[in-house]
Amino acid sequence: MFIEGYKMLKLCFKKCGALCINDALLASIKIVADTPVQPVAWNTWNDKRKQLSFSYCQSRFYQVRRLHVSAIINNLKDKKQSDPIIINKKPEDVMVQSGNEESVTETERTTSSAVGKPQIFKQAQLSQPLVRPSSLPDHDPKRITEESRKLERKARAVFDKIATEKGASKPTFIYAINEYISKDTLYRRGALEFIYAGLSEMKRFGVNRDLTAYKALIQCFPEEKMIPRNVWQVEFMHYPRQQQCGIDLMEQMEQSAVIPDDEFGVLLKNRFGSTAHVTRKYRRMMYWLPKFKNMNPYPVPYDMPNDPIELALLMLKRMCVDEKTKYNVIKTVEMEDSPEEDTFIVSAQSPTQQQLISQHKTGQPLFVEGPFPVYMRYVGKRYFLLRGEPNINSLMKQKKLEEEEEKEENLFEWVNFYEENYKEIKPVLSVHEQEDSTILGLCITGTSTKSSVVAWIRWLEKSNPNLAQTPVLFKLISPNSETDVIGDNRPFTELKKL
Amino acid sequence: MLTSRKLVHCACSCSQQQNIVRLIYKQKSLAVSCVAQRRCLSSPPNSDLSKGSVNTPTNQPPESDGLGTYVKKEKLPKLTEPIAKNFFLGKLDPRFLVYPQLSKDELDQLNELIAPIEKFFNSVDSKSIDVNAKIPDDVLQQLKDLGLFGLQIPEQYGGLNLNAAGYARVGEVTGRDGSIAVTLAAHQAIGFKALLLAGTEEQKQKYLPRLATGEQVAAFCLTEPSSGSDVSSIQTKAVLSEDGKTWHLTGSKIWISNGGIADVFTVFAKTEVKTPEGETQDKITAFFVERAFGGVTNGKPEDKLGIRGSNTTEVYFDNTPVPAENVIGDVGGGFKIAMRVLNSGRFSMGSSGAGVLKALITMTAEHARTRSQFGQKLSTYGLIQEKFAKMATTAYAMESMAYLTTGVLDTYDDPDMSVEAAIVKIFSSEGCWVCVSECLQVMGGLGYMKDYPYERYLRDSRIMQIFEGTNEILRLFVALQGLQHAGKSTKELLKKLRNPLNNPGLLFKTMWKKSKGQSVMVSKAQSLNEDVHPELEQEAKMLAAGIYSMSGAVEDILSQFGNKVVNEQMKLRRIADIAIDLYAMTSCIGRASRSYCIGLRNADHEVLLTRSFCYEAEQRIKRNIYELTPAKMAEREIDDTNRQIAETIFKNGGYAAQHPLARNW
Repeated sequence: MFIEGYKMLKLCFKKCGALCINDALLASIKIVADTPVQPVAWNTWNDKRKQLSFSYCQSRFYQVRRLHVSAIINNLKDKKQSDPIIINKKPEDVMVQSGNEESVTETERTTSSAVGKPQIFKQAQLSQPLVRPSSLPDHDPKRITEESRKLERKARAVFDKIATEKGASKPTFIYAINEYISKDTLYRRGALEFIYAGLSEMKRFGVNRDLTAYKALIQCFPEEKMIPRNVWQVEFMHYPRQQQCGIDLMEQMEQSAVIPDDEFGVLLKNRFGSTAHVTRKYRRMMYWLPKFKNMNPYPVPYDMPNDPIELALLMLKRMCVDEKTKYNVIKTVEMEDSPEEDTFIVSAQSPTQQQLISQHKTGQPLFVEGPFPVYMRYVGKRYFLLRGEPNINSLMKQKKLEEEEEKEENLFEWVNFYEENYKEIKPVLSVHEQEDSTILGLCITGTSTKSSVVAWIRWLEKSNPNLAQTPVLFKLISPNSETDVIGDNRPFTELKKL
Repeated sequence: MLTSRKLVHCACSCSQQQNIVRLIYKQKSLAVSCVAQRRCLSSPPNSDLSKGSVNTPTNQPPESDGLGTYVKKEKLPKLTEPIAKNFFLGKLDPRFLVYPQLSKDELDQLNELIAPIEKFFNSVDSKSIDVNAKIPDDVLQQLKDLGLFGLQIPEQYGGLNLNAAGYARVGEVTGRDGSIAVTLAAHQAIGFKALLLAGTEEQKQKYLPRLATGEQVAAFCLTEPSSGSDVSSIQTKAVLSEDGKTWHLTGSKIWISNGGIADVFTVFAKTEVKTPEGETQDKITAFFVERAFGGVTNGKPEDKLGIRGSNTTEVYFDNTPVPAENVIGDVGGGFKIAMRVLNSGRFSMGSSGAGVLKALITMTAEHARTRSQFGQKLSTYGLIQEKFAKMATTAYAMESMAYLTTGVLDTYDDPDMSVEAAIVKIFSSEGCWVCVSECLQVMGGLGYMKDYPYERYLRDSRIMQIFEGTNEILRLFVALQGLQHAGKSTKELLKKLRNPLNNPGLLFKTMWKKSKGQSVMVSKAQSLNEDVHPELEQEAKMLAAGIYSMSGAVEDILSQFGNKVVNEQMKLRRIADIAIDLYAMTSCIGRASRSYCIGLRNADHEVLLTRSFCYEAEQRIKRNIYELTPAKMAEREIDDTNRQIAETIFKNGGYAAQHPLARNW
């Protein structure tokens, strides 16, 4: 709940500013404010104050609290009165709007999916002129001067100009940074604002997952100048805004799954010294993030393929536990003479599943269900499954057997695996025969429409002749409706009664 | 056996007057169950073996013409208590410490039989058999002439009618050439064994005479592409014709030894059988199929690592018609026949392995005695001496186990020695592999060259761990058979142990006993040292202690896991290893004690061999017990660690650790 609300809020503020605040949003903010912040080491922090500001978790907590509760609520209050942050109707901003339409629509989509009530935002955006929020973070608004805002707008204008003139790509992003560094060689005036502007532009330039871009950005800060000379400077956050900027930069890296390396550390050390808060954050990141990087036992490629078929294959391979599963890519155009639509179907079915279909009694229906969401990294798709009612007889038999084995009078009366009737006594169930249903196949289609799924079933009938005689029921849910919990009325409840 | 026992006690107890009384008393009670082994090779001394007289041993009138002549018993006694399975209960019947022996007549005849075979095998060119991957026809013919194709076939069908001991002894010689040994074993140890065990009189009369002479060669067709160790999953089908007179066999079998040269096949196939409830079930049935029936073809010989001279092919049956009278046993009873055949053939691997090893030790010792390095002979170096000692110890244990098993097989009426046979097979196949490798090591670079036979023996011996039931399956077999026997025998106690809250008294007793390292099942260790020569007292105590600690481990494991013990394969492996060591110790101690008492040449050497083996075995047992004990396991959980490692490997599809040079950022 908290995370959802937090994400929603962050998005709202970033993209729409205070303009779209209405009752619904306020209600959700209340929820956020009422929900206690619970990072992992909440108790540790409370109990052992002596370790304050030293452990990674606590620093996370600091940020979380600052960002999400007090600052947000304070900002909200401010905004309601005077809108101090957002409303800057300078000519540059208006220009920016027109060039930035794509990212706005993308925001709209993500916002609507996150909140679930897209109408409110649409209305709000339509009724107000589109204003891009400042890239300066709002965790300490009083410190932000008008001068700083001006510098920030200037920095963004640089990025905008280069993006429109030379296109938004990695080389142009680096070019923009070099432009800044070459112009302001001595004092690096406005480095902080430039970095914040750069951070917010990264996605547009497509470099938000690129470590070299972050390295280039951190080099905007001047070397040596900000290194603390004594303990007091260290503890009282020498150059606090610059350090906070560095921390924000690394926070963004963290969120885009970019792990710094040794070079990044050297760059940071040359600018902030080895004891500053920002360098400490770097060290904590270097302690944890490489560990997290390889934690997933089912690794996902860092860059997802663009081809939807490859993507679908990747997702199905991840979902199918049977090693023998066969994956087929079918083009509806090639398959049928007059297809309802031109799309692809990626089908996953193993020989065991085919055998299960051939053993299925044709009188009983099979079901096609979906679409269900499946995500890999930041990409989502929808899949469908073909399933049958669970193999209650075998499941019951197995369960009874297990219970029989538990009984005292059957102690040591087991049947050894090398004896003849071993398999008759112990039915071996395949991995597809689960308690809630027997899964007979999976597919992802290009359009996730009913007609494409029907085409899949027609294709399956070729390799599963039994399927043609079996009634197949399509239980499809519309993509926008919430996912229901399926199946308490299914036969596997009988198993629980035992 | 009776005589041996007398000798044992006469020899060993002269200095211990007190003991004698007790021992003689014991001996009386045992005498009932002890019979001299005179089952096979049992034609009277004057009858000519080579003529193959048709006298059946049972029909022969006993020679009861007065005093001093031994009167043979009509029937063999039943084996009432199992040997290895009883280790699981912490018991060993001391009578099995009396090492079995053949009667003098039997031994003489056997030696008479062995002499020409040995002579022949000295002249066999094993190297060319290995290189050409074929046994020459004239060699095969000579083997047939020596009667090696019908060793265990009764005389009335023209065989040599060897008993288990005799068969094992011949195996010792034939084992010197792996290819020939496997060809012979595929023919008679499994090929037509089903006919001997379960065939009708007509079937025997029809086929056995020609099989005994080698006119027809047999093969055993069980393994299929989809079913290796899992026998019950075979796919070959047999369908009965409508008139009920002919079966039609269809299917393919792989890795069939003698598949290309065999004329008759024991084939296992699925047939439909009606159960009493009226359902039809697919059950395995054994068929005896002649190649002449038609529809039998075979693939080309497989190119193998070792035993290259033996003929291994695929065999295909395409609608082969088999007359109904060629069904072996009952329709649907094939599985039991297959198991009986496989179980009955395994014991001989111990003696053939030992035969190979003894020959190799002789050759290697010759090298060690003659080759000088750094100015001294190899034989003077400690590391070489240690190797020879280990090899001799292993060979000694292998032999002892094999002939103890054959002794019991010959003394009793159809005893169930499947667990013991499996133990012999596991121990000797692994011992052979290790020791042949050590022989090669002693030879150094020479051993690695193809000019010397060591690398061939190494390749040949590798198959022993794989065929006739892999060692892994057999270990599970040994452990599960034993555990089930123990569990059923002490069910009531174990039920209480599994439910400690309802039996608080027992709980405290268990805790008390465990704290002293004792088991609840058995009150105290047996004293086996009174049944062997005092020279082996320590070893007998080790054996008794081992058996006792095994009962403790079994009790723990059974009360902890109950029926779920079948899934604890790593623990089962340890239990099986303990049983193997105990059986080996039993046979070594028994044999050394006998040799020492009757004063065989180098009997003191045998005692040393036993001593060395028992020391090693005790160490292994202790280690296994340590790893089995739950309290210790809680600290280590080595099984769990290994399971997790394996799971990660399978999940990653291979070796999962990153390269040592890999970086994470």
